[in-house]
Amino acid sequence: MVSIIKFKMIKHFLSSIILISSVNFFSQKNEGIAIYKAKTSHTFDNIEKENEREVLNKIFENSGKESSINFKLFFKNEKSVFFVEKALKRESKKIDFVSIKAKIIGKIYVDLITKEIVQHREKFGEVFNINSNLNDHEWILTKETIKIGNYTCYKAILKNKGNKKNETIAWYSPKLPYNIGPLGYCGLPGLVIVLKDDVFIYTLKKISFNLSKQDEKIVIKPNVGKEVSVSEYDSIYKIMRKRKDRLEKENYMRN
Amino acid sequence: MKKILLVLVYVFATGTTFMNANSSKKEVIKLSTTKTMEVFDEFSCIIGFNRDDKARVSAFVDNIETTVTEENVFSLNEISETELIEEILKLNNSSEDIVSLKCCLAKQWIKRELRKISDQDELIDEIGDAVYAICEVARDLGWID
Repeated sequence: MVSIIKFKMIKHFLSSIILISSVNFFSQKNEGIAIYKAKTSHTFDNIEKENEREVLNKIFENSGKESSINFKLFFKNEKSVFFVEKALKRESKKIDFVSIKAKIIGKIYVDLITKEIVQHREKFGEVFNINSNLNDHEWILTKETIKIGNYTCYKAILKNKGNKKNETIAWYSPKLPYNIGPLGYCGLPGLVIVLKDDVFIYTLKKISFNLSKQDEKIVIKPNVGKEVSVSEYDSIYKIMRKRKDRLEKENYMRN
Repeated sequence: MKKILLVLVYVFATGTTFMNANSSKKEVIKLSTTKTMEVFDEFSCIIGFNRDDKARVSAFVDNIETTVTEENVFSLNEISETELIEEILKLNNSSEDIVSLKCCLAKQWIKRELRKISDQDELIDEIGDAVYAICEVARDLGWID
């Protein structure tokens, strides 16, 4: 009888230890930094005319080659911020798609609880907070898997709303239980390891599970800037772009 | 030196590419104001390089239309859109403008190609601007004629 009681006590004790240590384990892991690298998903190899293909290869950075730019995803509990690390000066004079993309991303804040996605960025001398919702990202989960490093990744396809030319595909790993990913693509049952959109492929290169006090300050919702929806921003962009083109034209003619 | 070579190769290749690309397609342009203006609209930035206003270009195109005779209409129909624009520009503009036209065509061509694969308008605009900027540097340095 005594031995049974002892056994039960030890069992409870061990269970408690395992539970406490697993809580600690996950609470420690619920913050960190994921670093992604990007490259273009298209090459110019399928351009039929040889001279056109040659020109493109001469003026653009080698397509399909990974850029040195770091895309960082800071996360703490249910909040995350995706942004581009200040890039070192490039040696190449060629046009690099990834550098241009990096210039226009700004910071993308995601709150999984409130389901907010806010892209904070500057354009035409004005600061915008472009608001969208997590529910805008509807994923089709598939059973297709690939092994990336130590992780078995599952394929998810973003539901195509509005006749997009190419589908957005994410490979996520349930072993990393963070429902986030690059560019605000989130809501999957695991961290996005690879994201492929119509032009780029973003691949997770490194993940650490610590945020310094300084890093924590980055994971906050942007509070300065003009609040707009994605469609409002698109309209503003089109108008401002036309205005910019017209002003450049006028300047040219004045000179 | 590497940069100079790169730009020279680019400029040479671009010039040949665009002229060949258009002529090889054998797209025949009908000499009508509407069609010609469509071409101008498509490559809208050349209006600015023309150092002229749109009305003047339009009047000029109208003038071509009225001065075309049966004798020369055939040869005009044979030339490509790009060549037609160049011919029009040559009459009113300096060689600098013609070079700007080439840069503009390069920019528009890249943008058109990228639009076939992507919906990222802002990215495409930025890439187009970058292509034009490289070409402009070459023009300012006198590497393109």
